[in-house]
Amino acid sequence: MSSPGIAEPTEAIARAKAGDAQAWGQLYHDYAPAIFRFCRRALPTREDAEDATMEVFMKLKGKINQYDSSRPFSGWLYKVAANHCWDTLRRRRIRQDKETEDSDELPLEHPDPSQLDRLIEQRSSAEVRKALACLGKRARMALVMRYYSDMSYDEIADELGVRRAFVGVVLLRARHELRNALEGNAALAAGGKA
Amino acid sequence: MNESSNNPDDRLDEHLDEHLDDHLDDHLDEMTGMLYVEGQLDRQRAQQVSAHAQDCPSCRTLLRALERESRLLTRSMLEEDEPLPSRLAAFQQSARKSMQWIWGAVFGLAATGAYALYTEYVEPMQHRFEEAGFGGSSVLNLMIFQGAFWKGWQSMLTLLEVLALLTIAGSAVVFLRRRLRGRGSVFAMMVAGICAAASMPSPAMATEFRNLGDTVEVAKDETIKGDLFAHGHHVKIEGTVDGDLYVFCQGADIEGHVTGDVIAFAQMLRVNGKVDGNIRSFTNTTLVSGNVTKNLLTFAETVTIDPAGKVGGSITTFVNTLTVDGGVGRDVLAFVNETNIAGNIGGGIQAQGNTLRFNSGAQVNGPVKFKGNRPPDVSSGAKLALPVAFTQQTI
Repeated sequence: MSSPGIAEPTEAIARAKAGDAQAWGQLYHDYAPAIFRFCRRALPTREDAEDATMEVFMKLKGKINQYDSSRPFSGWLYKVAANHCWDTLRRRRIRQDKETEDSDELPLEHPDPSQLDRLIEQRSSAEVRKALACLGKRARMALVMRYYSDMSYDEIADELGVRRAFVGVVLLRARHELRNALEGNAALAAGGKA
Repeated sequence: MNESSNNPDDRLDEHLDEHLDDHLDDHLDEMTGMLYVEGQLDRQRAQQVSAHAQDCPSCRTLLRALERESRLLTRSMLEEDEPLPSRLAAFQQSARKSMQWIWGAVFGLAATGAYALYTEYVEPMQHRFEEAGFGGSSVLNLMIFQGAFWKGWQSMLTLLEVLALLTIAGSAVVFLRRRLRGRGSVFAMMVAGICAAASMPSPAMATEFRNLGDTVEVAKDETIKGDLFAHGHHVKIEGTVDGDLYVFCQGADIEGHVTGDVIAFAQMLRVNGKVDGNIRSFTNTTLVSGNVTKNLLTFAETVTIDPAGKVGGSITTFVNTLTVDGGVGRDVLAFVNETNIAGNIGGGIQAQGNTLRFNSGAQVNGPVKFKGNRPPDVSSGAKLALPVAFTQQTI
């Protein structure tokens, strides 16, 4: 699980559980940037991400006693954030999501390995972030949980409410959506099996 | 091929079995490749994929592309392309302040009270004593050590109460203004604050004051006849207070019995015992695990009624998070950012805030009105007498 690069804040958590304001301030200071970035990747707008970050930390106050200190704090925190972001996205019924859900039933076409390799080589991080914004909510959420916070397939299945065996399918479809967004069309996936 | 499959219901496993059995001599499919680079295949399958890729340039290219894609995704997401927005940086400050405003209020109040005490009472009396031939320094000692017998306490307490209420109400307005956003909420809160001030009980004649340093304690076998004013770092009531209890402290634990009301200005108030009257708290956290016979009115950050907790009357709250897992005899009026109900509410609920959630096991016997940013979330296990009347909040 990726973390903001700091040691486990065991003492700050213990003090936060006891209601220590300074400890809460410390936890916020250390983890807010990472949680904001997580929300920024998962949610459509910067304002959504700002709201979500504040709400995640407010939720944290009510949930901190549920935290099992034998596990990494950042991992637990990302789960709270993922839960909040997914909850936020699910409540938004937008047309794009309907279309994405409909496309779940379509078979995935096998990419041409060489074309795929070239596409990946040519794309920058900034382009990927931009393309991420074009994805459906489930695809986007799955990619963020997997590649930002390094959540396991079991944890992703839990958050998305799908069977563990389906997580691979969700991630692969998400990658295809992302490639299509990067390309602007589905030409890459049309290569068929080599 | 897959002798070690532990999950017979696993559709993906079936797919992989079929694919690897039937087509590994041909080419890897993309799903198998992705699961391989993600480390999701068991050892036997991974070895098969690896062996195949060694002999197949096309599949090797596919695996390399998928792996690069994973790395590109991770890099894209982790890159710090935007600084923390100023609003969130400001929230950090307010988060600290929000946890400390109670103490700011308490210390401000204490300073004001001390000043009022000195200018209104100590100084004139000192002057009179000096005129009568007594030394000035002994008067202060007399005030401190024999203050409980001085009749002027009653009028001074009225002054302190007014100061306390004004200070706390002002702080509460500032604190909740951002959370509740709507002007109506703030107005309602102010009206309720005034009502709360009006309903403060008048102090009894027989009053005891305790300020014994860090911890103020009423022992298990001890009974305080009359009201108790307790001020310290930590107040612990294990015995009986046969009257009202006023606490000004960081942490207060009521594990015994209070026959009157509890008025608390504290960071943390825990009620594990029994309160026959009302609780009016201005706290950061209020936790009720015991029994409150009458009503609970609270301005706080977090209010929790534990599964074992019971409030016989109604709850009126102006808080960030309200969790009711226990029982409430009558209605709940909540101006709350996040309300979670899993217990039994004898009356109805009128709530305004961000979210309202009824978890499994929740039971509400009266009507529920909710004005909020999102529709209420009602678990299938929750029992509501009527559907929730929801109004979308306009900001």
